[in-house]
Amino acid sequence: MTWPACYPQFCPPEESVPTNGGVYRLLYTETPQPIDFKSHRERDPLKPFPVPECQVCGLSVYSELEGAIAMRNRIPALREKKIGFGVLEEPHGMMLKTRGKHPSHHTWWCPIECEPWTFFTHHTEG
Amino acid sequence: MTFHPLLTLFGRLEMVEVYDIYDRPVLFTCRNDADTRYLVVLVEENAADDVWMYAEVSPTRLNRIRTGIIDLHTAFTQTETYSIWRIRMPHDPTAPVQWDIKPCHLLPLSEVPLPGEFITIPVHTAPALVDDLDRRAAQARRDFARFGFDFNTTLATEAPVKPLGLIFASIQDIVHSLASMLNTQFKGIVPQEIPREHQLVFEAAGAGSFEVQIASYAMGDLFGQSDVGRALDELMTVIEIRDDEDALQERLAILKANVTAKYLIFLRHLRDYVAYTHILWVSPSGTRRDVSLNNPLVGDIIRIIEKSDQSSDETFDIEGILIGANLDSKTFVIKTTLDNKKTLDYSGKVSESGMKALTYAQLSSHYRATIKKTSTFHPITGKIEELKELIALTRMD
Repeated sequence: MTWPACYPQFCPPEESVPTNGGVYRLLYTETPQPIDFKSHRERDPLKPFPVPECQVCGLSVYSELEGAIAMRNRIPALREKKIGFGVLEEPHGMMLKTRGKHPSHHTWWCPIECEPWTFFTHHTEG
Repeated sequence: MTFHPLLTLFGRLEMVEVYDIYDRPVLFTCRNDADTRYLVVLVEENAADDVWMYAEVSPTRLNRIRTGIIDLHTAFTQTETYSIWRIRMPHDPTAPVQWDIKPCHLLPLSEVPLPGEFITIPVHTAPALVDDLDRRAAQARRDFARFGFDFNTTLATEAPVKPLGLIFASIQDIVHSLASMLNTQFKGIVPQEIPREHQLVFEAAGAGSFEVQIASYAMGDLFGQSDVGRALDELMTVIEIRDDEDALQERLAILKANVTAKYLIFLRHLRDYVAYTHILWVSPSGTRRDVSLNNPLVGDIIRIIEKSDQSSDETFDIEGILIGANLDSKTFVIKTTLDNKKTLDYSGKVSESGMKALTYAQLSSHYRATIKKTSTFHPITGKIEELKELIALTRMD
């Protein structure tokens, strides 16, 4: 796997595991776009963040739908976002359960060759 | 951590605690060098900038938000300053930061967390105490009291050790003073040593607000009555008077200077360390009373007591050995023996009526003496000045 240039050394962390299973991520629109899967470090290369650098290079995903819904409820900036769903397999990178309000929050480190917008779909909320 | 080089509105900000991360921190608290704290949430994000909402929070309120007592919606729509700051921060660190202040009650739902969303910091202290005091008091034939405190500076489920110790020491003192005074055998002086019948013991601690449960050390009588129970009953009555100045002055005048002094010490500790107090007392006979005090009310009660004239007289009889008498200086000393075999000396001036008997009195003889005690309570120092005067003296042997 080839990691983005902004990843620090020893990132993804040693304790992370190969991606496996369905996950939910918030999308700007109903059609997944590359921008939906850009980490904040890729978007803002210079800004300091008060969390480990490796975590800022990753993407927040939820293994349970409730986690994604709860985040939209809590954070006004995420309220209008759509919910996307994708099934991750081993070539799609590494992931780790990380700190978050909801227990299903994971950080996903996505290699350059992975193009998640091609296999994520909009989750229709009933 | 630098939030944005051009955000100087609040001074230098430092991240304190992160509650939610979505790719980056999106809900957190920060503080400036003046130790003013802000609860911050991401309101908008777009290609050019992010918009953050800052709500100033006191330590007490922040604790209640962090521990899930206040939800996030309320935290932002009912701030203590009645307003929030809306900060637009460009991604370009050289571009100017824009801000404005908005009344929090006018915030649209789209710009605040939805109702029912909480921060819940994992806590490592005890679970909430179960409310089974009535059953336990009846079974154990002891009085139980549960104190719940919102301390100013800690998590709602933790308590600073020194203030907690001071508060409970003052509770024991006031219970002992009240129990002594309410005893029909009271001789006018509250003994320094606390007898078992007046002692309180720690029983349990719990979460919620920080809660401590205490109990009387000794059991009540067959009717569920005890010295501690009577004292707690009276304490609840005094607290329930709250800041009704006339009623409080009248009650404290009955209870005299010693109790007033102890009550004032207790209130001062609450004022200094606690934002909110709740007290529940349950007796073995089934009496159940509860009161609550917030910090402003405690301050008001203290002001009433501090400006009051707390001088009181009481007259009582004692029996003991006359061990000192000085006709020139008109002073006396009588040694009494207490129930626990310890001795207690009464000394002071002799009145004109007492001088006649003292003139013909014999040292080392057994006498019944009538003593008038004048207690003056100095609210500012919290000290009580006691002057005793021998009124009458009758030989017993």
